[in-house]
Amino acid sequence: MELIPGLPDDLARECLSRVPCEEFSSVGSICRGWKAEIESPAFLSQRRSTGQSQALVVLAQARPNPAERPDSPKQLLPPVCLLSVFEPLTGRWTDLPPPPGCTNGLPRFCRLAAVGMELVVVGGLDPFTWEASAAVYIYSFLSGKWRRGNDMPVRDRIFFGCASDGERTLFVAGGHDTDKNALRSALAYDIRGDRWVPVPDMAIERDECRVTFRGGEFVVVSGYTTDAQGKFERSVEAFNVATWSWRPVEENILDAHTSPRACVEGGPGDDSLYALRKSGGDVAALRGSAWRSVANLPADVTSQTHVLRWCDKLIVFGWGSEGRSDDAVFVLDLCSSKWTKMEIPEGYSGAVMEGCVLEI
Amino acid sequence: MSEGIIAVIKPEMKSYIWLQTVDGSIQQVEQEVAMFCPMICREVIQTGMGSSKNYAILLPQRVNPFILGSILDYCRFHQVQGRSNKERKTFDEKFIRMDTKRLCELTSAADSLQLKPLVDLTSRALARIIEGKTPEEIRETFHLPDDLTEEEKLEPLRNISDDPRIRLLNRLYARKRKELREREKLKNAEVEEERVDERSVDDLLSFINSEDAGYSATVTNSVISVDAKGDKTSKNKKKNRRRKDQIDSTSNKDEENIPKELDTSPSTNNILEANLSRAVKVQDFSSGTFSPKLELDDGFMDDDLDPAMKEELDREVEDFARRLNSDQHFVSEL
Repeated sequence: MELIPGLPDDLARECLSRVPCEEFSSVGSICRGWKAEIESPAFLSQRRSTGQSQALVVLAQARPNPAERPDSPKQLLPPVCLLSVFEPLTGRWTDLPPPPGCTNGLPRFCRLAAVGMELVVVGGLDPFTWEASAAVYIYSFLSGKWRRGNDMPVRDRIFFGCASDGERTLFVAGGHDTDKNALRSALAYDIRGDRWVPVPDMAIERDECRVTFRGGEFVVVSGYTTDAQGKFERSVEAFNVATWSWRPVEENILDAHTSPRACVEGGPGDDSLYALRKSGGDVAALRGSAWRSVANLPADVTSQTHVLRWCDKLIVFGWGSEGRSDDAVFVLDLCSSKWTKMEIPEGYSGAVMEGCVLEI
Repeated sequence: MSEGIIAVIKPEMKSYIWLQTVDGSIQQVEQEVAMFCPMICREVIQTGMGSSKNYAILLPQRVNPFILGSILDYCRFHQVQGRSNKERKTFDEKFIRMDTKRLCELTSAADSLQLKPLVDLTSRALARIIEGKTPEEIRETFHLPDDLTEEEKLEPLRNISDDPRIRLLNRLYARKRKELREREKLKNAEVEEERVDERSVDDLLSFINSEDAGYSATVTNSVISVDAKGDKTSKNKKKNRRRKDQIDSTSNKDEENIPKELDTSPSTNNILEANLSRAVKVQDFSSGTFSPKLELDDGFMDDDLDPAMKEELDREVEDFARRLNSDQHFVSEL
C-alpha cells in the first residue's frame, strides 16, 4: 500500500515531512501507513536533515497560583510550576497543559529533557505535599498526550542534574536527599523500555550539578558536597555510555563563581562547553582545556536563571543590573556573537526554572 | 509554435528540443525552456538526442503530455533570469492552484525530470492541503483506507482555529468539572453565596467594553456575556460565562490578565509583525483565549459548580497558607 496512491513513497514522505508539528496527531490518525510513517525515527531525522523541523523550547515557569484570589490581600500563595512552549523562529508562545491530575501544576523544580518527539518531566517537589516527587511524566508531541513513566526507584532525590542523549536515555546525577545530604549516585532511564537502570556512583557528591551530553558522554558539571554547601566545585566528571563507567574527575575546569546553571553544551559537532561567566561578563567556550571568550554578556542578563542551547544559538533567561527581566528572552548567535532580545508576551512572564529544546 | 517537422535549427531564432512522452506523442520545445529540466539537459549533453523529431528525447513514464505542459509553463517562467523573488513567488502561488490529483501527478513528473524546485513547491502545497483538512477529508482526497481502530487513532486534535494543546486543556478541565459535579452531588455541599465580587465585575466590564479591546460584554442576571469582536476563533457565538473564580489556571490567567493582555496587545503585535505568518495564529490565540476555553466539549453549563469548586479551593488555600508559614524553603529557592 503506497503512502499516497499515485505518488512514489519517497515523494509522499517529502509531503508528510513538511506538515507542521501541530498536525502530527491528525496525520497519525488517518490510516495505518501514515501512522507508521510518522512514528518512524526516519521521519524525524528526515524532517531535521531537510530543515523542516520546528524548534520548540519548553519551559517550566513559576506562574501565579490559580488559587490566589485578587481580592484577598493576605493570601500570598506560592507560584505554581507550569509549562509553556516558546517557538524561537516565530516568537510564538503557547501553554502546554499539565498532565491530567496535576491540577496544581507540575512538581516544583522538576527537571525537563527532550527525547525525540517527547518531553520528559522528572522529579521536583510535589506541588501539594512539598515532598520529593519520583514521578516521571512524558508528553508526546506526536499524540498530544501525557503518560506516566515508571517512577524513579529512589524517591528521595531533588535538585539533581538531568540530561538526555536525545535518543532514548535520560541521565540523572547528584542532587540531595531530604536531609540535605549531597548525593554521589546516578541513574539512567531508558525511555523506550520505560525502566530505570542503576549507574555506578560518581567520585564525589554533587548537589545542584548540571548534566550535559556531548560526545557520547554524560558530563556532570560542578555541584557541591554536603560539607561545602553552596560552594560549587570547579570539576567535571564524565560518564561514558559505551564503557558504562566514569572517567576520572577533571579538576579546575570551571571558573570560580561560574554556576553550573550557566553552563550548556554545544550543538552537534561542537564539543565545546559554554559558560556564561559573571566574573568576566562574557560567554566563553571550553575546547580542550582552554576557555575562550566568544561574546560579551549584555547588561540586561548578568545573572541567569536558565541557559539553553538551540542549534548554534544560546537562549538565556535571567536578569541584569536593573532587576529581573521577566519579559525578555536573550538569544546569542554563537557564530556572529550577536545578541537578540525577544519580548515575552504578557501571561508568559515568570521565572524560568527549567527548560529544554525539542527539534521536531 | 512548431512550424513543420523539417527545419529544426532556425539560424536567427531559437533552437528547439524534441521531446516524446510515453504515449508516443512528440512535441518541440524552446531549448532554454527544456534545458531547465536537469534530466533533459543531461540527455541532450550526454547523448546528443533531441535535435530532431526522429531523435526526440524519451521522457520518463510519469510525464504525460498534459502534465508536461504544466511543467514547461513553470520552466518557461523561471528560466528567465531577471525576475525578482517576489515575482517568482507570486507565479508559484498561482501555479500550484490545481486539484490534488494533478498536484500529485505534477510532483511525480517533476521528480522524474529532477526538477527539484518544482518538487519542493508541489510537496509543500500537498502538505498544506493535508494541514487544512479533517482526517475524513484527507482519506477521501488521497483515497486512503480508514483502517485504524479508535484506540489506535491518535487524538485528532485538529480544529481549524484552536491550538491543539488548548483543546487538550479544555478536555482535562471539562473532565475535572464533571468529577466535581459528581462529587458535589454525593457530598450535598452547602451552597455558598455567589461570591461574585461586584467591584471586580465592574472593572472587568469597563475594561472589556473599552474602545481598543476586541470584546464587548454585558451582564444579565449576574452572568457576564462576553463577545469577542471580529475574533476569528469565536465563531460569532454569544458566550455565557459566569464570573467564576479560578479553578483552571488558564481561566485565572485570562481573568487576572485581561486588562494587561488587552492593554498590551499593541506591543504583542509589534513582536508578531516581525515574524512569520504563523504569528496571525498567535494573535488569534491570545485574543481568543476566551473562546477556546468557553467551547466546552459537551456545551454544558457549569452553573452548579461554583460552590463545589469554592470548597476545593478553600481547602487548597488553607493548605498553602499552612505550608507557607511552616516552610521557608521555597522562598529562598525562588
